[in-house]
Amino acid sequence: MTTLCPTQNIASTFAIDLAITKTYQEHADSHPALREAAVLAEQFPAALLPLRETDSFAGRYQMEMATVTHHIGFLPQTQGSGCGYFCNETNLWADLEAAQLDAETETAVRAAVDFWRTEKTDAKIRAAYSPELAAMLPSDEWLTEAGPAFPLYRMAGSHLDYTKLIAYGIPGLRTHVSNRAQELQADGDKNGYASFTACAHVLETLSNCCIFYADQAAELAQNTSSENRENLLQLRSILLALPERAPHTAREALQLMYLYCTMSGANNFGRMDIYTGPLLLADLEHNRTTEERTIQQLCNLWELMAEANHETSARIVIGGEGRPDPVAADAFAALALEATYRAGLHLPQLSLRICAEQNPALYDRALDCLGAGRTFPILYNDDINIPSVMKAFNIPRTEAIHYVPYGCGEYVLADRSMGTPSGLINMLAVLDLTLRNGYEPNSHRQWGPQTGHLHEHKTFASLMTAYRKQVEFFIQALAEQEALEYQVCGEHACFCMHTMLYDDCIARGKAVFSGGLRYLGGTMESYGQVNTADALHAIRTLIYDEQSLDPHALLEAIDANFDGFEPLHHRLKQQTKYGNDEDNVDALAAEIHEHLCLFTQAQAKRVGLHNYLVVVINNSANTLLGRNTPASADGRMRGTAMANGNNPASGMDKKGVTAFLNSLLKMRTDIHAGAVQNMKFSKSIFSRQRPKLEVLLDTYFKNGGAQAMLTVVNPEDLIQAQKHPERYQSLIVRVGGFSARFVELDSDVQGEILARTLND
Amino acid sequence: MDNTKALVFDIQRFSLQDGPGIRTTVFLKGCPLRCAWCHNPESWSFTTELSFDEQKCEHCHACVDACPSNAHIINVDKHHAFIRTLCDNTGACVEACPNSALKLYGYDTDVDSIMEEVIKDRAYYDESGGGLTISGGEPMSNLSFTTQLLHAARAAQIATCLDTSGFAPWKQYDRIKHLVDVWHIDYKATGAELHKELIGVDRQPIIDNLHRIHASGARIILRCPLVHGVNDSDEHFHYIADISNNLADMTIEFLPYHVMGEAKRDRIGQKASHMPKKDATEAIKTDWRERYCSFGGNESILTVY
Ligand code: SF4
Ligand code: SF4
Repeated sequence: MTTLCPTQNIASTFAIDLAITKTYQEHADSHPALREAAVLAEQFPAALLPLRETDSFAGRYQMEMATVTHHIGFLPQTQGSGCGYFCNETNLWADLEAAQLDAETETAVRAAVDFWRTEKTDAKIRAAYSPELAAMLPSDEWLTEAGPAFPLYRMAGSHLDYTKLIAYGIPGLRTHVSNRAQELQADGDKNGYASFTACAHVLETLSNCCIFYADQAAELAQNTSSENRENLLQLRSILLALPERAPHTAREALQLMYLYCTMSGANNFGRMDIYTGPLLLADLEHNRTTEERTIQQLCNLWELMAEANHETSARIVIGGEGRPDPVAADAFAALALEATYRAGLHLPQLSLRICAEQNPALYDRALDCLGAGRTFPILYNDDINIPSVMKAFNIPRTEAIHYVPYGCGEYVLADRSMGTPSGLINMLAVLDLTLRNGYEPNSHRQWGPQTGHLHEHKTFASLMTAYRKQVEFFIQALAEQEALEYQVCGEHACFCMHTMLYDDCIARGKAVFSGGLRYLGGTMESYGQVNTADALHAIRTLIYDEQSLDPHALLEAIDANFDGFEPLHHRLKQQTKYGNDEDNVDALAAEIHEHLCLFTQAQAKRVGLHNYLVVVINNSANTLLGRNTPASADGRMRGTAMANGNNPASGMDKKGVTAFLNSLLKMRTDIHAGAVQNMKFSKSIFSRQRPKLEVLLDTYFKNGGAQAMLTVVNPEDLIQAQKHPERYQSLIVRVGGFSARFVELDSDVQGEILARTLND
Repeated sequence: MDNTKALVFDIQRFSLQDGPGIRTTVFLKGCPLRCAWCHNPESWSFTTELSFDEQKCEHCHACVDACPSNAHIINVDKHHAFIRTLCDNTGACVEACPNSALKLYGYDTDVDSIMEEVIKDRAYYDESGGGLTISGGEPMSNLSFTTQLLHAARAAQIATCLDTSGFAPWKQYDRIKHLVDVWHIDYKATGAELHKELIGVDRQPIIDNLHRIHASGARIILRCPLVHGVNDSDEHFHYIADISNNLADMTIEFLPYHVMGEAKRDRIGQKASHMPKKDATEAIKTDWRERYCSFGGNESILTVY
């Protein structure tokens, strides 16, 4: 059974599911945008979780993990159950068993599930695959099956224009979209009319949510401590004001943003210092709040974000070029850092862009925060990122300054672009296929093209050509899938809440995925690059250069997971690995990286996207994919984790952090949409060697370092935490792209984190 | 081209505690001294040494076939055993061991190869005021190599630091002193007898060299390894405090004893030391600092690690 909030009962979750299903069905003949608005009106506020007396902000809603208030609905992304219209069967069946519904309701629920099996958006996407595409991407089960490439279904990583939301407020925005709808109607554009009429309806729903919570605040205020009462009454008046006018204070602005973000499922909070800074300064000037009070409120907001637990989203970006009022933005950024320092939570993912125009105290405070064991902020270097984004996205500087990392580190342009990752490639699995003439032994599929067996390649160059062909085959498929996914989503729904707050949808009179968005882009998650480079290097050295290894013997050893091949396994492990500033293998890694990125980039034009770029992010997928990946020629065992992002394989960077950074710097940054670098340091380096650490980072950034995720962890902590999880509930670690409570991670993910070299 | 050779047992990049800034430290193998607390016992011998870590051994016997000297044997109980006295320390077995239980300390390398590695971190040295540190063992024991490496660093405009016990003949220091930017000189024990007992050599030449090197205008970091109950006498702190006042422009570092050397001793077949089995506590470190200060020591130049 899934866990429910105490005030909810399971039956009510099914009531929401059935109401949504009924509304959707009744709108069979309506315009999809109007249908969506009607569904959202069923979903919200019904599915929202109640306010609590200590909350400073309203908008609790839990769709991650097993704690859900409905199983059927509309969201751009839901963990593991698709995008757009979804039906989360896993949770649904578990809850159904526990719910003991009357026979009639249960029958209705079962019928609804049947209905959604073909009607939910991801099913429609899959159904739209051409036979060729379906053959190239035969499986969606990347978590349980071995394979080179898998599609993902979600519209993730949106950075909506909260500045606009806050400037207009709900009524202003409603007038704006309604007027636009009228204009479009006058032009005879039925689609446009329906889309923006639907947007206005959705804003009505948003207003209802404000009222819903305002009433709760009033009720709670009656029976609580005087301190809470004051807070709740203030919250009530904010919630009552929001449907009437634009926000006047920073708290009002944050409340509006948070509710909008929750309902839209965008789950990334954008450049918060831009949209909150000026209001905050005005608040402080007029004594409407104090810094201390704001910090406390932010801590409370951060707690809500952590509870909602969108581990792979929940970004807040502060700092960087392109902020219209840097002084005000800096003022807010400082408080956001302070809240992160105090709250010590695994979310939100506060990210600091570093540039010359901002107050250097922010960077100092960021290092304090990291040195104190927080995993945030994540650092982004504008000097490198802006030119890189210009090149990779092929956009002018005036646009590139709006880059923001979302989720696990993919760059998009705030308010201007989407780049949802709708596919992943497992490079190590591709390499395995390359060694076997395109054959995947677990699924018995001739999955890739026939490019010859390892022993048939008489030169390393010939093997590399085959490898590249395999990679290209899958990238083409994933690019086509990405474009198709947007197309089907656009046909199925308007994504009203995105459409209203994304450039240039209103101006163009089009929905976000139907030609409205300024830059419709995509990203492809790549995993296993570093292991692939290490493996290819070992093959080159032993089979081709030294000619001391028989290709058949290598495959036998891989198939046996090196059991009975210990000496060979040892030799493979002994080969030079990426991450040690050794040019031979580092150059191979850079070459593989460049090929992957450039070929991917070139697909955008072919499939009709503005951009299509590789991301070398690291969430826990390197571990999860590793579970189904065969042993590899770098000496990695079957089922074990692959290296994280562009980082060296676990424990393979033996020459220290400068060597590791030099290796990293050999990878181009201007051909992809983000790569993530983990760096762990012992507490003592932060506390005792801070100036040297700063020089290390400065030098890295000056020489081309784009990004850094620093963590302070002591290995003893981790070992103890494995033994005594109960004592380490609060221990937070970065699992690549996100932070997590260590004790909640699977033991192999824990092991991998432990094994990653500590730069002590 | 410079192929002056040396036996090196480690090159450590991103060294933070071997001189100013971010450095690369080259550890040369071989030392005439035998400090009881040494945490690098693998640096003592002037030849390569095989290290065998019994805890990692899985008794697979791969080393048995690889060894030409029959130093690895199979016992009646099928357990592997290592007979060190038969071993020639050339390491033919190291590669064979799948469990990394075997390791050879020391490899021959030359000035050019070392500089190739050292130069890679130039950007970090330039930003941090760091550079190359030559350590050991005792770098003065391979004077020709140390001299050539110092020359090469100079030529490459990389700052140098030399880590020495101060025990070499003055003539040798005199020959290289113009090539060294920063000196690490150890000061280990006060009292002639205690010094002889703990270090195995006389103290006076070290003191003399310290003064001479200082007189040459060099920048010196005086490093004092401290072991609670062994060399941390009042007399010792008094002496260090005096130096802190008498020798201008010097800095002093207290290096508390680390037990990490013990396990290594066992793996290379050395007897256990008589050192305490615990690292110095924070309280002890504070006490050291206070005693140094109580004898008038200059606190502003002291770092306690
Ligand atoms: S170092 Fe040489 S002699 Fe010693 S055990 Fe290994 S192979 Fe045998
Ligand atoms: S090869 Fe290594 S693991 Fe095997 S017996 Fe020898 S020392 Fe032990």
